[in-house]
Amino acid sequence: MGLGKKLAKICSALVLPGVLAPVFAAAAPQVVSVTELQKALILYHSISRLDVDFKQTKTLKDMDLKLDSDGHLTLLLPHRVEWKILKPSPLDVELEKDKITIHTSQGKQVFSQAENPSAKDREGFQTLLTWLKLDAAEISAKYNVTRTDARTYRFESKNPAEQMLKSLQMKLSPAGHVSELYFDEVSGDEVKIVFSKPKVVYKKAQ
Amino acid sequence: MNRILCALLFLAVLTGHNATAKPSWFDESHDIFLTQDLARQASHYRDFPLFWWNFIIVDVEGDLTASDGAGWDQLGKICAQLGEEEAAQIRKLPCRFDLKSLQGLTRDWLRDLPRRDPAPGLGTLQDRMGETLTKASMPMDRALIDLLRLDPLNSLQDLKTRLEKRMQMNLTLRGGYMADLPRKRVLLPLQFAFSPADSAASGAFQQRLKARCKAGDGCRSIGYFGPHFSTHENEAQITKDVDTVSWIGMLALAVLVGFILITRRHHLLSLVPILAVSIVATVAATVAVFGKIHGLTIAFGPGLVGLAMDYGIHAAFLNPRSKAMWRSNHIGLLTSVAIMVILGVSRIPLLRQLMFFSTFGLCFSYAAFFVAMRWRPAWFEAQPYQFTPRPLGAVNFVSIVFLFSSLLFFANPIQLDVQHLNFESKATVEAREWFVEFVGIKSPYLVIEDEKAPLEGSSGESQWAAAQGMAYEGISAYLPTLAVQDANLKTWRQSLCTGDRPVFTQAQLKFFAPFWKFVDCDGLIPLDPSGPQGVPDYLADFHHGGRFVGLFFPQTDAEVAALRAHEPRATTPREIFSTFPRIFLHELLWMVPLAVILALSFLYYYYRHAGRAALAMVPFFTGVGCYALVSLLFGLPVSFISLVGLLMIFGFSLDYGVFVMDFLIFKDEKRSGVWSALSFCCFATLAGFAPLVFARHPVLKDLGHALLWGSLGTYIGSLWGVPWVFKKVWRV
Repeated sequence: MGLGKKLAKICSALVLPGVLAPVFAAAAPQVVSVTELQKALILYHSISRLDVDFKQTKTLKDMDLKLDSDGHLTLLLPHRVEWKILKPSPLDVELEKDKITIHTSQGKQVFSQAENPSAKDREGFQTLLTWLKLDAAEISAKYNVTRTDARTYRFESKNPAEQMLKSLQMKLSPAGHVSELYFDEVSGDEVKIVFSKPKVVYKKAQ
Repeated sequence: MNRILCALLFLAVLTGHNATAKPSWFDESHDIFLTQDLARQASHYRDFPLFWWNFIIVDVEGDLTASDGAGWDQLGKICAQLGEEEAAQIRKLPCRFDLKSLQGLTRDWLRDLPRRDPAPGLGTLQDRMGETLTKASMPMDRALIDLLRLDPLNSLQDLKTRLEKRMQMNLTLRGGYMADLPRKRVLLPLQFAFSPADSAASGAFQQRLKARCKAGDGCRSIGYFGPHFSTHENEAQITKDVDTVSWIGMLALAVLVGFILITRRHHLLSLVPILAVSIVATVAATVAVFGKIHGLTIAFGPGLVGLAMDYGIHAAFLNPRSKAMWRSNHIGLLTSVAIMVILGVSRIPLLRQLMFFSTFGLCFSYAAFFVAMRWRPAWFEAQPYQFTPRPLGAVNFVSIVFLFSSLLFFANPIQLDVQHLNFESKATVEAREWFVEFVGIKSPYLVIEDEKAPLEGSSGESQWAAAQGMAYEGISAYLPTLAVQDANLKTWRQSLCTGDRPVFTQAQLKFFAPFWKFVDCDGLIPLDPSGPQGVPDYLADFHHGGRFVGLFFPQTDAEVAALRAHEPRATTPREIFSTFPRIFLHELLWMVPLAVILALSFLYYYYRHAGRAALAMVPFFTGVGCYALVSLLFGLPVSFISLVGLLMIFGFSLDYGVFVMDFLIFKDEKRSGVWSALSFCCFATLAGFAPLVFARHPVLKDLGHALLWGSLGTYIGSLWGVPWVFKKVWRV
């Protein structure tokens, strides 16, 4: 159903804020270079775990409808993400390496890259891996990255055939944690995720 | 020459088959092979879209087990391109069983949820809606959102499970594709939007598919399997064979005409326009009587009508003015007509039509020859060649061997399996063998459900099959009986339409607006697929002309026996079409002896001598003997098409026997032209039909072998066998 790809993109977007913490001072939109991005990412290579609550709102414009949900995100670097929606209904999404598992009251569904021959779905996995690896070069290769104000970054896919996301915006708190994520979808729908209460565990020194 | 002309007409009909628009009086249906009841059953396989499924077998270049998924990428591209570019030709091509691509089907399926399943408890409905809204709150493309709005209870997963079960194959899906990973081979099911009878469309599609595979990335080779491709492959091979055979036939005709002209026997050519006019008149008479004329009647009929040329040539070489000569011709005609009339009472419509055509045509053309040659004998008479067969010991011996080896005909089992007549190229054989090995599917047994209550009928069949442990596929697997629907709908009405109606949130009401339409209180009524509401898309494959089909999948002989006891009407296409040769053979078992007795009676009446009457039949038996011996020695299959060939042999071999016997009995030197006449007729036959043995299609090849060896044996029997036996017995 293509859900694996969507979830991969969601999770990759959620991983991103956890690792991009530096605060940039520029106010006007400014292209972010690979080097600049690498600098930001180097800091967060030291994270082993991130826990954060979120509130998510999807706006379906043509229906004049807002769908709200609350949940909790756990990022276990380098390969595991747990995305738990608690309200209005429980829905757990686990992402580990090349496998996504969705738990609902009806059971679980597993989407695996190895089992999934769809190029579109695998693209989703690849996107996710790109973010999980925090490879600035790869991210910059796939996205045009700009900074729109001191703490807001905008990522636009370089792929003109991108079918879902028009752009992704990320806002960082003064403390360096992601405070907001904003998805501008090709369909015109919007998703806004506000994060709070971040808890970070750093890697032990070798 | 007679046979060549007829062969050319036959070839022209076949080659023109696809090239010209078919007139309304031209029939090419398969129904003509079968009795009325069997034809009705066979039509189901042509009419029901369930049988329009074929399989494309793609050998991919990429490694399907590679972790980068390159092989799957290539395959996905091929499948998607095919679906887009051939949209007009394809009804369904479920790449990866992606239900999103089957919009009409999914919409009808979701609409009928309250008919199919009872209402969930209010709590369950609220929970599922909540979960669906939660899913929808995530970033995802709009198509998926629209699907979620229709399906809060996730019934599409149920549909997917049922559709996969419909395939009834012993295979595992690899990420949605049916794949044989070690061989890097994938099976793509494909349902055409047209009937298998439209061979031209299938052929054009196949060519485009080949070109796409050649030009595109990732496709190493491509194979095909299914009714559409099989029909086209057979027709294409016949056309190809006929092209070759007709070219050789034209050459043989030119040589023969050249020989006639060089040897100044051009008067023989005067017979040709009379025969041509007779055949046209016969076609018209057949259309007048039967309403239509089948392609096979046009193909084989002129060959039988062409027997009249034997009488014309016989008269031309002997003396068109001779009453004695015409008496020989009359008795020859009677013996030929005898078997045609007897075969004309067959239960098989094709034989009835073919025999009407042959009898009418033979009599008409014979009458035309008789009148014309008696009226203007000088226009037709030809000087016989200076040829008299010398008694040759070895050839005499051969003819006796042929005579006795006619008994060997019964030693060669007659191929009644219609599969024998199905042409398959090497690639198709390989694809079929892989398909059977990989997929393990057996031909299902078909039944037509009760037309008045198809759902109830299907449900009964389903329950019976389940009790037997047998797989069954029918409309009740997707839509319950009207009574069950009513019960299900009642639960929805109770839940949503009576008493204190449940309260839903604005989000639920807005988001699931399309779903609420499905469970609107005014629309909660049962769906009778045979009623005015129409057939839902997910049942369309099972439906044609107000009838519904069901399929049983027995795996063992015991299950087949149980099914037959339960449902005697259940049958497979192979069984239906195998009935034709079986009926034909059973009829021949009494028709041929009766025809032989009748022919012998005519001969006895003519000769007033049992021995001489029997001797006139020697050419027929030497013809059969020669064919039987060659078949056994070279392992040639004898099919019911071969029997059709032997019937033609029967027709002219008795004429030859009569002509030779009259020459021997009446000691009339003026009759010495009989050798020229027989040789001329026989070489024309050989030249006309011998090229058929080089055909690859089994129908043409079987016919060619029967006519080639049968004619050769008849010739040897006529020129050496009959005189030798005559001299030995009567010491003349």
